[in-house]
Amino acid sequence: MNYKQKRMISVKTKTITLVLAIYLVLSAVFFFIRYLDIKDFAQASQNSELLKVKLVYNQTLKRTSKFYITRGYANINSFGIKEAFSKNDADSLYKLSLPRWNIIRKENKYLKSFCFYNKDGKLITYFGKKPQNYLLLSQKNTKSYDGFWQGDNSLNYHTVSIAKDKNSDVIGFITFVIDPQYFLFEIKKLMNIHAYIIYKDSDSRKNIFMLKDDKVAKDTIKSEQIENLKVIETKNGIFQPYIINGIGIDSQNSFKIIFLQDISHWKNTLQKAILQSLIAMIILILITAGIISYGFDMILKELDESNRKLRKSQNELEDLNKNLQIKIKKEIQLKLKKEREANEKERILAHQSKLASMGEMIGNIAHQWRQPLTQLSSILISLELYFERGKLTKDRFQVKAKEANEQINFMSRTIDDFRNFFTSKKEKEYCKVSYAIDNVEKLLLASLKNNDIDLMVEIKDDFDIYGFPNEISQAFINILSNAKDVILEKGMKNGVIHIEAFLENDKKIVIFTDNAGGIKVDPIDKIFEPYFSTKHAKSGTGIGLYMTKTIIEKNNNGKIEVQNIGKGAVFTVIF
Amino acid sequence: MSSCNILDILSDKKVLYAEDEEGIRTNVVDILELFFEKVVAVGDGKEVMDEMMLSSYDMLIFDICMPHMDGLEAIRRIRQKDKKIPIIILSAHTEQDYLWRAVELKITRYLTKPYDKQTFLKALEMAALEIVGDNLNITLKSGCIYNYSQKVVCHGVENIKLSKNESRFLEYLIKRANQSVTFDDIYDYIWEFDIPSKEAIKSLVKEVRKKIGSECIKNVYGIGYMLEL
Repeated sequence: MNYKQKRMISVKTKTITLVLAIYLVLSAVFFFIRYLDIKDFAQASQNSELLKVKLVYNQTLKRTSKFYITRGYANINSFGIKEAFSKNDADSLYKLSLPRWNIIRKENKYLKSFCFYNKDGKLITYFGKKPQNYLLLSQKNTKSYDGFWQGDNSLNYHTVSIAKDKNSDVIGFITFVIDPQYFLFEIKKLMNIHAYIIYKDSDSRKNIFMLKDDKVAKDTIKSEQIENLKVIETKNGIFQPYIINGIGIDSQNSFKIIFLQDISHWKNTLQKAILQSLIAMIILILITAGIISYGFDMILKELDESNRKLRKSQNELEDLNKNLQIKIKKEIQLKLKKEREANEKERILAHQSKLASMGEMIGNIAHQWRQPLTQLSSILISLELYFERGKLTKDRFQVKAKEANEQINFMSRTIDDFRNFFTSKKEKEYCKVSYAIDNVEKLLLASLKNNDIDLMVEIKDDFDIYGFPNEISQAFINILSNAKDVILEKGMKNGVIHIEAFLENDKKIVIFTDNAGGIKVDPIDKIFEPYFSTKHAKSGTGIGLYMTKTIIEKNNNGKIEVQNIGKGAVFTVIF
Repeated sequence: MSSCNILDILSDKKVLYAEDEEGIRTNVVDILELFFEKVVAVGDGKEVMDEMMLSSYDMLIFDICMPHMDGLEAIRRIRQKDKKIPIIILSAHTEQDYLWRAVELKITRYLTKPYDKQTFLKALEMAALEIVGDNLNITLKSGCIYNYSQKVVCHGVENIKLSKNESRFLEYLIKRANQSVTFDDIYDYIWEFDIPSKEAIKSLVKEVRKKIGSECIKNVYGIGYMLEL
């Protein structure tokens, strides 16, 4: 049983493992496809992001330059400005421009300063932070321009609007100085991307971070080689750098704007996807394993159950077998015992029957002999009396002696008959039914006659009987004796017993009919039971008919039936 | 021998013997013929009844087991008419039933077969004595004494022997003493089938009167005779 269970479990484990393996492979494939998908998508989105960043930056730059240049011109064209320029009147310029500064300053907090330069590029006056004393490129440019440049250890964005007189001669410059962080702010505002500006110190050619206190940037960039789109992983996150080369006012002033897009969310998405896949996979695996396990458990349970039942019924069967054997043994012993007892009983019965029939036979002999004995005694008496009277002639004596001898012979024959009858033969033999009936007649005639009972014998077919002739005669005698006893008991004077032997449908039948009024026993077959007697104790032992049945049915393959027909009982013996 | 004497009573008597077994019957008839004047033997109960109709008997000896009618039944019928006739039964049966029935019928002796000589003769004696009322001698009116066994009349020292018919007639009258006995009764008893003339009776009476004294037997006119004791 254990072996089987183990085998079942191993099958279960194997099946679960196989299914899980298939699941794992499928999941891995799907996961991989998804991963590629996401990665491709990320790549594509990053590329588009870069373009977007560039666009935003350029547009912001364009917008900002246009805005401030226009403001500059607006200021130039304001009343008294040109005049003040012409006069190099710093106070006038300051006073005239102050309201505008107040407005503009509020518009943009990244606006550093609002400056006025003369035609030589020398600072006249300014608002805000103090700018450089000289305007770069003042002589070369007749058109307004913008750009970044370094100065005072900082990188700044300038817009320059040129003030001209009626003769189109340059009379001065209006400059707005804007902190480059403004662009970063704009980009951040528009795209939510952090940007950092790196520029090189004009002297040391060292990279200078514009935002020194920006820890994130510091940590992220650390002046390392930053390449476009090369992912940087730091403890603060994962960043995708976009690098834009800023164009300075001259080559010296070129710089780089580095955008760092935090792509942690991509990674997160990826990780999340992986995690989700993993979780889904694990859940699926668990569920599958659970289902399979449960299914197998169910199957196993059922198998176990049926096994258990099988075992149980096997055990029961074995028990039953054992019990059966014991029972059979007991039964056999009981049967043997009963058989022995029955045999013993049978033996006793047979013995009793023998005694009874011997008693009966002796009775019959007495009847048989009474006649000749009486005759003999009569002969003797008459002889004696005749002799006494001297009347005994020779003739008379001879006649009487002969007569006496005949009687003695008759008696001797009778004794022989009875003796023959009681010497039981060891082997079955064929005998005519007439022989058996003659025997009966011979033995019973005197008794029947003495009791005035007529015996009528009618042998229509003298068939052969195979059996023990004496036993059969004995059985017949018992039937006749029974009838005789009943007739006598009833004090009947016209008792008749009829014996008939004939063949019917190949059956050998002997019928005994009496006219003694039938058997008043219910059920009638009870008369065949041992020790059953309706007669007085003196005449009936109660085993005669039992022995008859035994003799006919057991020893001689016959059958005996009894019924009441007409005036009496009818015994039918079928061989 | 007194026994012989007693049995001599029977010497003028008639007996009816019924036995169905011929072998026994002939032998018993042989025996009975030694003692009786006449022995009639029949084979069954029916014949018994026929015979009883035809003749009168002094004694009956019956077997019980006979065809047609058993002995006891025959006796029962006979006893309805005749209460006195002695009956001996010779039977193979010793069963009580038979004995009870026999007792009721006032049987003298019930002998079981086979019987020996003594028993048989004793039974005959008993029956004989019953016939004569236990007295072998009877004193008649005339003073003479009649002896049943020797069939003699004793007048003092003189003994006169009576013939068979005479003694039969006398004993018949003695049995019916002081009663008138008809001529027909006498015919039936003495002569049976032969019809004798009245003269025969008269001469018989005359002979008897001569031997016992005439005063003993009176004429009853037109009827018969009567013996006075």
